[in-house]
Amino acid sequence: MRCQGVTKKFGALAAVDDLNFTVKEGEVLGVGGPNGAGKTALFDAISGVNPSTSGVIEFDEVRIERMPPDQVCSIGLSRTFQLNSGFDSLTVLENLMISCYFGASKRKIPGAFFDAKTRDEVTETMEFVGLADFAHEEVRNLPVYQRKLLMIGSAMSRKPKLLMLDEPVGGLNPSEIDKILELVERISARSVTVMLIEHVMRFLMHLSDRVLILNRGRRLFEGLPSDVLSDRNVVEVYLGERSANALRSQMST
Amino acid sequence: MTVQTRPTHRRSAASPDYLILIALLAVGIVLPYFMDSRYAMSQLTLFLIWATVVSQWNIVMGFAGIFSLAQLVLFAVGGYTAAILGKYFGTDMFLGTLLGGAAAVCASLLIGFACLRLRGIYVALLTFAIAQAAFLLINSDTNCIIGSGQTCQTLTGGPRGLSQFGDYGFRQLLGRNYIVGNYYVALTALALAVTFSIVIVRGPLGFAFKALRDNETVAVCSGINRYKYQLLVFAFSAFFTGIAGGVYAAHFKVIGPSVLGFPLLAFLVSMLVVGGLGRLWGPVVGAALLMLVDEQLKEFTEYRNLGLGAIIIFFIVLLPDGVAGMIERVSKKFRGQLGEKQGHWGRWRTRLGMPMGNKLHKQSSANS
Repeated sequence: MRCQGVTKKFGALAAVDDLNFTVKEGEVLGVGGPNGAGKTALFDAISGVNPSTSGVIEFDEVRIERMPPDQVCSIGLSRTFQLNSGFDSLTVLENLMISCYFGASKRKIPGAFFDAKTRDEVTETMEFVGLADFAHEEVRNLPVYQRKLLMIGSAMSRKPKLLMLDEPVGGLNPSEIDKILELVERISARSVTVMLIEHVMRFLMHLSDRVLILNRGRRLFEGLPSDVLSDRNVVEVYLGERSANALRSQMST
Repeated sequence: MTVQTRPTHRRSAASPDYLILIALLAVGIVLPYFMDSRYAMSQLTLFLIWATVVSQWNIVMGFAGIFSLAQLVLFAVGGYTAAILGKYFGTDMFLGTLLGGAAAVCASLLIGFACLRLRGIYVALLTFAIAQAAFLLINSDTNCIIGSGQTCQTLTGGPRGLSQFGDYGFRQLLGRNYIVGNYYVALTALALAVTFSIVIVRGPLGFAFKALRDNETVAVCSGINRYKYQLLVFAFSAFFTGIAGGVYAAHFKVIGPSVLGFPLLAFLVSMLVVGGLGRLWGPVVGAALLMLVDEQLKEFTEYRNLGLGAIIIFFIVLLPDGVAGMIERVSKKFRGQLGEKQGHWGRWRTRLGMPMGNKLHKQSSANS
């Protein structure tokens, strides 16, 4: 995927300001930056939820910057949300069935029943993300970790080529973070390209092949995760000296 | 535990909705043998026609979330198409009824293209405007297509409506019991319409609309195109609504602009509200109750609209999910008590009471 001159304006404020970058096939691109840096606005622009004001977004040589979200989804670009979003009155299984049935297939007119293929795939997805024991739980009753899993599972059941995760571990405890980390590694191993937003730097640095740090809608840093901590700008604007030091010692052990 | 919660690939034999449908259909089939009054048969036929229209309206409004007030326009398109074809081209009324359904689909696509980009109250306003425009257009139709002056015949018959366009021909077949024939035609239409409703509500489309209601952003990002699916459901339900219009025309052998008037609109909305909007069986329950009430209040016709208004207010304030919703709640409570004793099976039973209950739950119970 290639973004060129992508800009998203809310009135006079440019949430995303003339941003250029590419995501290479098969890589994991981590996106970081302080609150209000435009990370989620960028995701909204790419996924068509809240289209960009100007610029070109290309995915697999198709221009998608004006595509409605359902179409973006159907060409293989799937995202999760920062908030715990699902279909609250339905069960985990139903959520995944809907995602798989409408997100993964190219059918023009929905049939009368969910087909066996959808059922098989959803069963597989539930086992892949670890939700099999919660299949019949209503989503509104799910604990936060399972809701995160469900969002990733729903996104995966749409069979994406590019998976965009918006704060997949926000609000989780360290052991849960480790489990999601391991899950994203397994997703990446299935040759799905991943783009993820995260504030938990340990998570971001561990997973990413490359890191893009935004500030005020612009690129502050783009490069290898190992270089993030030595970049003066990132430390000053985003991380702060103390947490950068803490991270450095964490990474070296 | 794990076995229980995993989905199986067995397709459920029959949903309880289909069982209810079959049971009701059986009652409907034998009913004429216990009726000796032609008036009662005629009113029953009318009930079947209204139940068909309201069941489709319920799919559109209660499930697909389209606040359309143009349902009777589609009904009128079906009825007028059958009548006009019968009158000017001598078309057989069975064929005319089917063509009426097709014409209603075309009309629904036109209305849908114009309205469904909008949402909520704006859809209601625009479709109501369309209904009023159609009413006025027919009422003020003065272009003679045959003859002039005293013999003037306009295409739609204007305020007098159309008549003498034929019927289903049961009079030759059944003699003075011909209404029974019409009754069975209407019963068939209702059965098809309700089957269609069950398929929509319990199938992927029903879930898509449920998803859109729960969280539109996530639904859209899951590949659900609201506009497309709403248009699809609107067009399909228009077919059965148009069919109902054709049956109405053939049964009464007359159709006039009153089918687009406010009193009928209020009558059918009451059925929808009393039965329970968004409940699969609400329309049938509502249509039956309102027909009965209407029958009792025949002597007080001048207060009919007032009474309907009072009924609508009463239900919206006190029983917003209608009689069907009330029945569901009561039976859910009952099943809930059973459920505590019966564990998973009971919980599954409880879920089936929900309007969007589905076969997935049933399958897990098959394993337990």
